[in-house]
Amino acid sequence: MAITSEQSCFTLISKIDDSESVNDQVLKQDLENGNDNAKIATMKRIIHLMLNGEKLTSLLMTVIRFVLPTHNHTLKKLLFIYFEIIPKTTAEGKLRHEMILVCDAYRKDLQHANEFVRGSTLRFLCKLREAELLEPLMPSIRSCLEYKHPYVRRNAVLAVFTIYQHCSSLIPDAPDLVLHFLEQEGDPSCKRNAFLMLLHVDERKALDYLAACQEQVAMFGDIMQLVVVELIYKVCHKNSSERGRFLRSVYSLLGSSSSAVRYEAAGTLVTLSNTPTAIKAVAQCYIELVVSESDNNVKIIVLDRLKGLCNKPSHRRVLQGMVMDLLSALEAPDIEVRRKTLDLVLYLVNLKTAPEVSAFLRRELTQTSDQSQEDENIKYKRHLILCLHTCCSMFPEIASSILPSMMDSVLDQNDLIACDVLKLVREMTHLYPTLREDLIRRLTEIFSQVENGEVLRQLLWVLGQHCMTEEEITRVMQEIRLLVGELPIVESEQRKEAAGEDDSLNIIESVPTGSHSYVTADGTYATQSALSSATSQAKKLDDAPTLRKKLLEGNYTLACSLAGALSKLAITYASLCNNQQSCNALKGEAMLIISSMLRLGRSKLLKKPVPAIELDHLWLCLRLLSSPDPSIGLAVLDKTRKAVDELLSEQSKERKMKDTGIPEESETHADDAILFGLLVTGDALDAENRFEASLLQAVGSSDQKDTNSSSESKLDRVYQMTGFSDPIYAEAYVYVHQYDIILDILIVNQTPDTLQGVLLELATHGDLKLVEKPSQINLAPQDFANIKAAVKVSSTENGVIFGNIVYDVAGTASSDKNCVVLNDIHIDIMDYIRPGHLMQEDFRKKWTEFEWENKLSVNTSIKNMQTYLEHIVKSTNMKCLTPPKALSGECDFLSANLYARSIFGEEALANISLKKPQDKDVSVTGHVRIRAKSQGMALSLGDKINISQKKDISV
Amino acid sequence: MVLLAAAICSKQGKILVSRQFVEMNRSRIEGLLTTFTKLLESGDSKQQHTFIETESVRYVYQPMDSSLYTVLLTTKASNILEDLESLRLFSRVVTEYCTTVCEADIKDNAFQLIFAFDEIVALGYRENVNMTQIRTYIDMDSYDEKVSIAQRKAQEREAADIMKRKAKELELARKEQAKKGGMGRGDRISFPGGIAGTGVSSSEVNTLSVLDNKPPFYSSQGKAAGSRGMKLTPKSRNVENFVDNIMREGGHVASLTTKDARTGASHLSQSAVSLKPTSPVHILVQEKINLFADRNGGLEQFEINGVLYLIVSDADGLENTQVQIESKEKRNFQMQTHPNIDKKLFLQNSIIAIKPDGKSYLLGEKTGVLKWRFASTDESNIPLSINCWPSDGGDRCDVNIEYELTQPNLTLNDVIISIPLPTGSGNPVVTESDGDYALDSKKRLLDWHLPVIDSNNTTGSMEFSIPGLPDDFFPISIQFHSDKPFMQFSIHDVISRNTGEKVKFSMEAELLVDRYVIQ
Repeated sequence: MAITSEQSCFTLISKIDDSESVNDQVLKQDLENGNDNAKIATMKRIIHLMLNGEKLTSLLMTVIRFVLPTHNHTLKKLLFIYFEIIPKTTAEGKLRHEMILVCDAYRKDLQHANEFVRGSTLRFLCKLREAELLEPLMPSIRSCLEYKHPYVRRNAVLAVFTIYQHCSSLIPDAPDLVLHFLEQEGDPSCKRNAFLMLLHVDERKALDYLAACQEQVAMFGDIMQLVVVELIYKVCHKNSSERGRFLRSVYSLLGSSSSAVRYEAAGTLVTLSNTPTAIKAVAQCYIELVVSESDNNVKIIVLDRLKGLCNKPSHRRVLQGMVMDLLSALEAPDIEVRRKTLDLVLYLVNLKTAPEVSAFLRRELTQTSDQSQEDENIKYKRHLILCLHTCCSMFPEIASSILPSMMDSVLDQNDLIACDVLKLVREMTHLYPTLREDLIRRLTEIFSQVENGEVLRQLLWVLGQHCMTEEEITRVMQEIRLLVGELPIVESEQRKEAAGEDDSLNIIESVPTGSHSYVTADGTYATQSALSSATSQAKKLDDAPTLRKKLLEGNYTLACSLAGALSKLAITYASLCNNQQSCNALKGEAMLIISSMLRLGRSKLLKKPVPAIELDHLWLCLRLLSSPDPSIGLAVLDKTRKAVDELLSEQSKERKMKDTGIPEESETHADDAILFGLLVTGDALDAENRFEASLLQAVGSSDQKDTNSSSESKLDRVYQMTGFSDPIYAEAYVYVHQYDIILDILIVNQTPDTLQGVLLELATHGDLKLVEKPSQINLAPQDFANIKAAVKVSSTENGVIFGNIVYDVAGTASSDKNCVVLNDIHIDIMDYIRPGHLMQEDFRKKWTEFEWENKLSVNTSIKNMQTYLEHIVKSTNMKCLTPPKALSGECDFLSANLYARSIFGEEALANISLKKPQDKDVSVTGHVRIRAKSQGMALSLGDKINISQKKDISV
Repeated sequence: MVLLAAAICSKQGKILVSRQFVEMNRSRIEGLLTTFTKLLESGDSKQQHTFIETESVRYVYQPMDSSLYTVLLTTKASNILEDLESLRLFSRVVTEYCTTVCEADIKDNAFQLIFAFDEIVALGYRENVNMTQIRTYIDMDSYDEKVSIAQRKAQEREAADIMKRKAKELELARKEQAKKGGMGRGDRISFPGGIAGTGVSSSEVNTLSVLDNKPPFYSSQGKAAGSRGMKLTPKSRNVENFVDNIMREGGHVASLTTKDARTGASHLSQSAVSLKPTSPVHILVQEKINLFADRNGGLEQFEINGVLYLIVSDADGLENTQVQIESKEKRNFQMQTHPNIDKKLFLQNSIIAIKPDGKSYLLGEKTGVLKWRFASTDESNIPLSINCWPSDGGDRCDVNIEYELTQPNLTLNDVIISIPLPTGSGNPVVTESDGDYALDSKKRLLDWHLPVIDSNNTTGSMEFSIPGLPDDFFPISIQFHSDKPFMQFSIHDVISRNTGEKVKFSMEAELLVDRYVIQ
């Protein structure tokens, strides 16, 4: 029982690499004969070995005899660690006799002249739990409380503290003792520790002390102040009537010179009072911290705290007034800080502050340097735009003032930023027609300066959709005409080509793309390399107007939007204008442009053939324009508008969900209970003590959730490990607790003989490690026993635990051992997988990054695609990232992205592509692709899906 | 605010060293640390913050090297500012104790690191230490220990000497006996009381406290109150505002004072308010002496620190009290006024008054307004010079000690001159003494009491003898107090700035000894 999983562990040291085998004897000799240095080396070695699982119990006596009496300080300290880790009890739970000797040595050390020896001895005693050992030391510990060196006193207080906590009978008067000590003490560290002890042990006394020196709290050192705040939190948490008493102290601590104290005091003040003044003080303190602390960690955590503060509507109202202060946190260069700040700002902005906030954000947008086109800056700008976008859609009043000045950003070098702005413009023009005129004018003005294809496409769409007057339409047409250049495209290009080649009139259908022979002007042949031809072509392209350039580059997505815009413009124009002639002229021109694009698409001027679908689109536009019936065109316009409506409302809903992450405020119903501030009891404010809860959580002893569900799930987790007719029957209850798997194995002797030396041998496969080997037992006839074994898991992988039971039958002379082989236990990875959320862009990025892919074909009896998807989501614990809206509706195919994280931080992506054959009665087909960073994850998740598919077949 | 563990991990997930400060089991901590490295991998490498939060814990880390991380495990409610502070200290410790930060080096120095980690955090709470302190704690270099070791050696030597001498005497006696021949053998041989027993056994008991006559350092309550200094901050007013606001908004704030009255204020606060002045303006002068001189009369360090406190207990005088000081001092005193005091006025006219826009005094509160310091290495400034002259006379040492008051204007009360005595050498024989003397047998000190030393009584002497070496009688420490300050000055007047009238005032002065040692 070297280090059992139940025993607490204070030290971890990695193994030393030397493979030299250890021998108790050698170690013993070194300890007996060596000088101090040799002893130090040996002790280090022993501790290393013990920490890594060796038992070495036989050395204890040698250590006591030869090392314990030392005067060497290093050796003394090593001994502390040694005695920390050595089991102090025998297997039966009785104290080992040798420990009495140790105890005596430490009694002497507690009276040692060296204050540091005393101090570290006392610190060691903090970790000792055996009352029998501590008892003889008590007088010395007490006297150390009065020793002249603060180092000793401060450790003595801690020792008293832990001893009182664990065996209070040894020092029943500890609280009084410490209170007395505290009143006399001058050293801040000692004071803190003494106060800490009172805080945990006897709140009443701590409070009395605090009340007595409340005036001086502001003068205490920062570590003491922190404990004071903790005490106030704890007391007020338990007893809400005390709250009023401490407001003063906490408030004055908000002005402490130490920012740590301010942070803590703010956190406590919120729990003390709900009044706007208090909240305001807290928020101010937090904002100050965010702005003044240079460390990003602090900023982020404090911003999280602020966000938590906002979750209560009443608090949010207070904070809304402070939005402008918060904005100065944007000065931090870290994108994460900025993002959080913006999120918070968005959440807090209201009608009153909106103009100011948006003006600030706009300024920030223009000021963020364009030169350093770093990733961070682009991301930040996009966030700013998104933020402005949300602001505008929340408060349309401000849109008119900020939108015009944002137009410059359309010309931003980065197309993503420009597109974001255009999306904003699209929404605004659609929703608020009053803004339309101005925006369209501005867009028309900058139209010719835009160079990026994607931006152009979006711009064209906006112009096509929203030009509503004759004048606007003619102006846009003019611009388009300019940008497309000479028509028809193919002919004019060929003419230019010809002109470029010194009037040689042998126009060929194919434009040179590779290395070709040319006939030069004087009739000789020359070879022109692809490189120069390419550059000359590129040069030629540079001169061309933007739209034409894109067309010649083969960007036919752009051509489609151009065609769409043209047809929309022509149709709108026709409905507006009474002059049949100009209508027809415009329509004709639009058709000319479209048709020449079609022509270009089919000509060999382009390097790559244009996809048929895009040409089809062009054809469609052409046909639309040429149709004599105007109602068709109008119907098309109407439909597009409706589609946009739907899209935008869906998007804004989605954004709201994401931005706030908090349900809407309007959730209060008429029949909800009303909370009266005066009558609110403590529970309503804050449910549990955050210090203790978080500690319990961290140490891993909070089992509340498990105990609740244990009754029904315990039976599900029992694995039968041997047959019923085997001499030994075994079954295991597998208990999964985050990183540990604990096997509780029941072993039953089914024979009428006594079985001796029953040993359960376990081994693992995969990323599992057996922490604790079960010990040997004897079983009487028909007896049973429970054995525990702990397994540690370190990654998500399908692990297998296998093993056998070895035993002797008592009374038989045969020397061979009997053996029963056990069934394997497969560890279910689902225990480690948690659904997670991921943005679509991140999903794509990760999809390309992850190395391992597992592709499975769908093999199921499920006939409905949605049902299949739900089944997979349910059985793999993954989260479907594709919004339900996109999955709904009747369609013959379905594609969805799934995402999950394991508790070890591994990520798994999955994409499901399904197809439903025409025939109604046939089950769905398709593929599931899983991608992950590690092979184990991809494989095990794949197995899981395969199994769950089949399981369904059997159903 | 709970720091669970400090660890050093490599990027590959290897835990090099980890020290836990709260109880947790092994698999838990290993699991948490392994998860950390996994989380680190999956995280965005470009992010500029160094903490990771999971469901149950928070990791705060700092990369040490290309592949090593110092990581702190904290609870989620933990105070991030504190943790970062600790983290900085931890990583400094690592660089301090590992010459190059690499895996092998950390493994080599793992124990050193664990010792140092222990000094930084106690039971999950940060200790108020800095790097130099940690270094001292780790070195464990203790003056007391050296003293006690030296003492034990001296005693052992002494015991051996005594033993030798006795053996010789015995030998002599035996020879004499032999000469006299067989006369009354048994009753003549006497072993004068326990040869070495007394020396050795008593040394065991007293090893710790000998030679160190410095009283245990606890700050007195008076000092705590005094260190508050000028308590004119607007904070207190703000607090009231704040409380008022809260009350208006329906919060409930209990009055503190009533609570105090109910619980019966503990003696802490009582002592703080014990100095109730009677006159409208009370002036309190406090001076402390720190002096180290060597036994030959040389002055190593001499320092006087003084503070002048004002207690204004008249509401009208809170802003207008002016104190006119008259200094008769020609020695080089450094004067310093509280920032809230009009410095110019003081320098030109020796008047202490609040700056035109300064904050007023608090009613009945002790407020320090003027500080002074005097340091010197000139022997003539020693207030009380001690001449201790041990002369080694074979097995006994005769000690002549005399004092002389060099500053005739001073009056020293309750002077105690404590002379350490060698251990294990019995009681001293005092042959001559002015004043009283007492033997502190527990601390092995000879305390020479003199109720008053003033101009009528400038010198005095004492003489005693005891077995020992001349070095045994040092360091001599002296305690006294006086109600006359060292700095010679007087309060001319206290005037109200508004009316120009003189205000009644009272004054109280004390001169205390912080340390006064002849080495």
